[in-house]
Amino acid sequence: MSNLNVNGQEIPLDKEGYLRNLNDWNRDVAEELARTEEIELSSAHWEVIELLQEFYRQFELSPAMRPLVKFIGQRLGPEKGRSIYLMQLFPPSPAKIASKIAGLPKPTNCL
Amino acid sequence: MSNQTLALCRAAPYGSALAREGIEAVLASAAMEQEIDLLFLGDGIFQLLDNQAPEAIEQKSLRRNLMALPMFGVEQLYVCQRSLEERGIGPDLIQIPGAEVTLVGNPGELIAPYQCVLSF
Repeated sequence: MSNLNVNGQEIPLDKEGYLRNLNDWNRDVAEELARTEEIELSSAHWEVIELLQEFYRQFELSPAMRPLVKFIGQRLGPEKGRSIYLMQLFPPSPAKIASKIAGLPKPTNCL
Repeated sequence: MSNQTLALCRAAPYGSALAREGIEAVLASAAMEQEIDLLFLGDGIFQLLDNQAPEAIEQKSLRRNLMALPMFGVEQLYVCQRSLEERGIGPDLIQIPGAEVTLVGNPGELIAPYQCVLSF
């Protein structure tokens, strides 16, 4: 995969499907990225996506699973700060898939 | 303590890739549920300072990455007291929210009991 067509615009992707340029991200791009992962975005997804972007602004890195769970837990409470909850939203690998849809780089420390 | 790893952070933040490589190794270990402590000494102290302006050289902020350490479960940071004093930096300038910063008078004594020590 090298390009994503969103509303007639070609958005460049890397070979794993992450945005090459973070500035290309918008909600339509997110919907399209989610479609490639066969995920339909609900408000529960958007809640996590927005927090991921906040994590990135704050720490300048994409979170691996452990910090993602902790961060979500701090912001949305213990019910949502659980890996099973995130697995249901962004299967099969929430840190990678949610980062992709949020337009962030692949978590470098996600081995 | 036996399985605990200590990472020595000795390099200034942007002079080489060493500081960033070190932090990435620490974050990767922590993401894999390894217990890891950090000791900042020598020019590594500069990684902790708040007034970094890495945009000018198109880099990301190393301190921002360090501030993520508590999110990764790394909460114990040691700092060599003499390295701080030699550089005229006060302990108030090197705090990381959510982490415990402990000043160390004798780094050798701190390092000795660790079975695994990484040096960056």
